[in-house]
Amino acid sequence: MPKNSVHNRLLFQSLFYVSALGLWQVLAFAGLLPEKLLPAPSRILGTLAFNAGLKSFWMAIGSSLMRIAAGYSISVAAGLAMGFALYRFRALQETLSSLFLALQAFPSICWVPVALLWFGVNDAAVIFVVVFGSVFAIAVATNQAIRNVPPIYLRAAATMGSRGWHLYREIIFPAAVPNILYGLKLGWSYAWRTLIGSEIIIAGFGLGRLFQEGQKAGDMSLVFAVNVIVLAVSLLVDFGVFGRIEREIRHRWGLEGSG
Amino acid sequence: MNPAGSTSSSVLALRDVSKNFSTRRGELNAVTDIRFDVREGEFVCVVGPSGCGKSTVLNLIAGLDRPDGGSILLDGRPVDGPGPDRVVVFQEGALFPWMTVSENVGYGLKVQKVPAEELDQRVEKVLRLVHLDRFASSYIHELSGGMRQRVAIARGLVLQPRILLMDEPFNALDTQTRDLLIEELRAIHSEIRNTVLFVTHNVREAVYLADRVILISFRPGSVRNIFKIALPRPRDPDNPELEAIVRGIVGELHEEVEKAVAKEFGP
Repeated sequence: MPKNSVHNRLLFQSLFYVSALGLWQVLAFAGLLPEKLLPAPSRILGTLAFNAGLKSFWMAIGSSLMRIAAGYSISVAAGLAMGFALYRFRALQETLSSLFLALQAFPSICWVPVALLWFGVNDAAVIFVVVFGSVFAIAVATNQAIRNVPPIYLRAAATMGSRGWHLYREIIFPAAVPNILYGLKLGWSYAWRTLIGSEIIIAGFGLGRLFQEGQKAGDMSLVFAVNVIVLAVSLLVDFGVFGRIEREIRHRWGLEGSG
Repeated sequence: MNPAGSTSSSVLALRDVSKNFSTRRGELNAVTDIRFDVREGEFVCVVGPSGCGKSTVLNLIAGLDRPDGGSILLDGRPVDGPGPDRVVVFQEGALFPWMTVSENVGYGLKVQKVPAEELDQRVEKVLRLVHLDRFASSYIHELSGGMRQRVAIARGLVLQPRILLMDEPFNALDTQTRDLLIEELRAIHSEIRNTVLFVTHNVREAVYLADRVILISFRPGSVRNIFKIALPRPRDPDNPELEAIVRGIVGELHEEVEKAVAKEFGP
């Protein structure tokens, strides 16, 4: 029964999107849409196909992906370390946790001018903004995840003689993994948004440069084509990477059915 | 005789142990003047009305809490913090869900850096003892409540603690499973003769299992009476002698429950 309902849902979803795109196409074909502002799906597809033949298009995608990889990796490593440090040292918890919370809510684009003045117009500036746009979300979530580990696990481990580093590695960290993963996912979406945002502002970089080109030339189909790429990466990472890991972890941790 | 006055065969000795908790309504004297011994190989049950502090006593022995007064001696040495010589079997939810059954059971041995081969052997042996050898590679959420508590017991036994502390371990189970596990626990104890301190509010369970039953009074909890259960094992739960002992303890327990009720609802 559950398998069937999943199939039905997928069918329903794809039917919805296919008909929405179809309607859009028909309306554009009938000349009811301003072509310059809202090009037909077929035109966007054509632009994508054309650009797929250009080396510069792939290089733009590649350079954005490289920056997100670098920025996000730094964020994950630093965010996990900061989350742990906050838990481990009470003084840090009491002083920094409110600052981190504030910085998590801080609009990451505000780091762009800072980055430009510190680093100049280069990769380092973009990566800096990406890191500052996502690291606090990961740190805060990691810290919360560890603080929410059921005390009974710690008590049980303690009576079995576990303490210190062993307790962290074998009990506290694994017990927190499902919630830490939530933080990593949140951090990823912050990082990806921040990357695209700062690339558009700074321009001259990756997908942001393509957006700029489309905008300057008034080529809406290029702008939409780049949007499709951004959306595709978002979906791929969310469902393909995090969705998979999440399912695996929920299964292993016995959390299925609870959310 | 050591300075604390416990005999050489006494594994655990509590001397005038007291513990206070601060609550919103001020300082609460949870337990006071707790004094008893547990001897080598003995099965001792602690009963008392809910809220009498019997679990507090267990936590103090486990080293999870510190007493405010008196001393707790294990083999004549004062207890300092939790340790594998006093493993606790908790009521429920203390198993690690990200580990398999055998990883859960082997965890304490891993902490002690027991070599892999010996670890595997000991885990396998204890899993056979609790009839879970077929479920070694299952995850906790794949097991029934009764099986989970068997894992919890195995996880304690494998460390061969000087005393196994059990905190109402069968509370969350249905009656049928509970009876089954009590019987299994009895069989295990008669086989390996380990020292057990078992906290419960079920007098019948206590009398069926124990060499001695310690009755804790209502707040502040202290030892009201100690009953020696001299019946031969395995015991027949329908034996009139056992019945009589149960009735005797339940009678005294009810007096304590009355006190609790009076305190809760009284003027």
